[in-house]
Amino acid sequence: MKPVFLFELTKRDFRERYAGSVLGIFWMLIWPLVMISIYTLIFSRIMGAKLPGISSVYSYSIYLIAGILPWTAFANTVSRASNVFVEKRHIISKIQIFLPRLPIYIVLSETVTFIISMFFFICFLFFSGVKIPFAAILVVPFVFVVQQVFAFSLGFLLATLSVFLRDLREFIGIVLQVWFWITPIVYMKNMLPYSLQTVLSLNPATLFIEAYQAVFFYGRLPNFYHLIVLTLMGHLFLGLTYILFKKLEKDVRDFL
Amino acid sequence: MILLGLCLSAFSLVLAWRSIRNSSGNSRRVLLLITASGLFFSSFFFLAEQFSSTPYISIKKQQWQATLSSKTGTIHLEIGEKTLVPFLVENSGTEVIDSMEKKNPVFLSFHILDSSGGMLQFDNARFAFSEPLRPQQQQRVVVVLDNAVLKLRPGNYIAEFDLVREESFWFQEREGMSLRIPLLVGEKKR
Repeated sequence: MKPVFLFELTKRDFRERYAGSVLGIFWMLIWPLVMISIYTLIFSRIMGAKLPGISSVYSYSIYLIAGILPWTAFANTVSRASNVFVEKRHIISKIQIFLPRLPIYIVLSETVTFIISMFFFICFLFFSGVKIPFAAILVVPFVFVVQQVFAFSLGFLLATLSVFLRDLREFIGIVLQVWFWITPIVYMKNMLPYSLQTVLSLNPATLFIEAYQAVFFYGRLPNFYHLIVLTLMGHLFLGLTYILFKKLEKDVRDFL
Repeated sequence: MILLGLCLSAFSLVLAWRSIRNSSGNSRRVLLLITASGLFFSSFFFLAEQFSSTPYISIKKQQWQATLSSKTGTIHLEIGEKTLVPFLVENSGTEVIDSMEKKNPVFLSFHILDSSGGMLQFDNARFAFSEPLRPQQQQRVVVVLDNAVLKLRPGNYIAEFDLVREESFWFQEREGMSLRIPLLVGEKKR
């Protein structure tokens, strides 16, 4: 599959997403703007939600958005990639495609959405007077790549299995919901008892969410050793998923 | 360590190059590329960790940091009673710790946790520094734990002491260290 085809799929993905709407692709800009405004308005202005010990008006909104944006990219990548083979079976049956490359267009599509959302978020931080060290911001793209490698490998594994088990798609939705709540996005990890904090640290999503929170909320560099663990975990998982896929590839094509 | 990181990232790039150039089996090529990518990102984070600990990047140097020490091993408190806990606070950051500052004064305060570390009472009384504490200087501050205010029932707790810069942050959040001391609340002796 040539890169041009991959970009074409990504472009079409956006076009299909906003097909028939008057504002079309502009919804991509409106959505993150609205989301950031709502969180800021509700949590900071109306509810006055604050994090323990931090009295800044926007503290909770910043904490929440810093976690929700990467989580949305991650969860969307996993859930959409998990159905990609079934969804694109009309293409797979017509053209000889290297299947592992197919979920990449979803990663690309979610990356574009993430970049736009992050742009608005960074603008919001800038205008609300939050100072983030430049060196810390430079780390963010690397964290995102590692996070998406993990999301891709998970989505790729589920896409392979979804061909045989169609119920998996519904199950993934539930798992992602539970996963969201066992990741410290809406609450702080140190608010929980020690025993639960240890359990939470084993969650791979905690590793990358905490990295974003370190940069955008605490204004410091993330824990790089946690990111090394996440990198190795994600790549090992990707390698194993690829080996499993190669063993099942013929069956996958036959089932489709 | 930095050299090791650089070697690792160079090796990962060579591996990636070989996997792209390699015309043999597709699977081998993909697995080689995954390994190269994993090695590259791991070595990048490893290098970032090494560089962030050097004076070239001052991001880890804390402006607001303090070291708390106390000779009190366990705090004993009775219902409705007060107890005094003296602390020695050393300013190990680069800013002056000042309780008289108008905008964001700094105080010594504490949280009350249950015996397993769960938060019970986050915001409690503040205790001021008698005079501004400059970097590397030490000062004695006495904290008063008043159970008439805290209203703790008999049992085992943990008192976590930390400095707070009002309307801004607790020092613990800036990678500072808080000090946890077991707190025993007992019935009033007759």
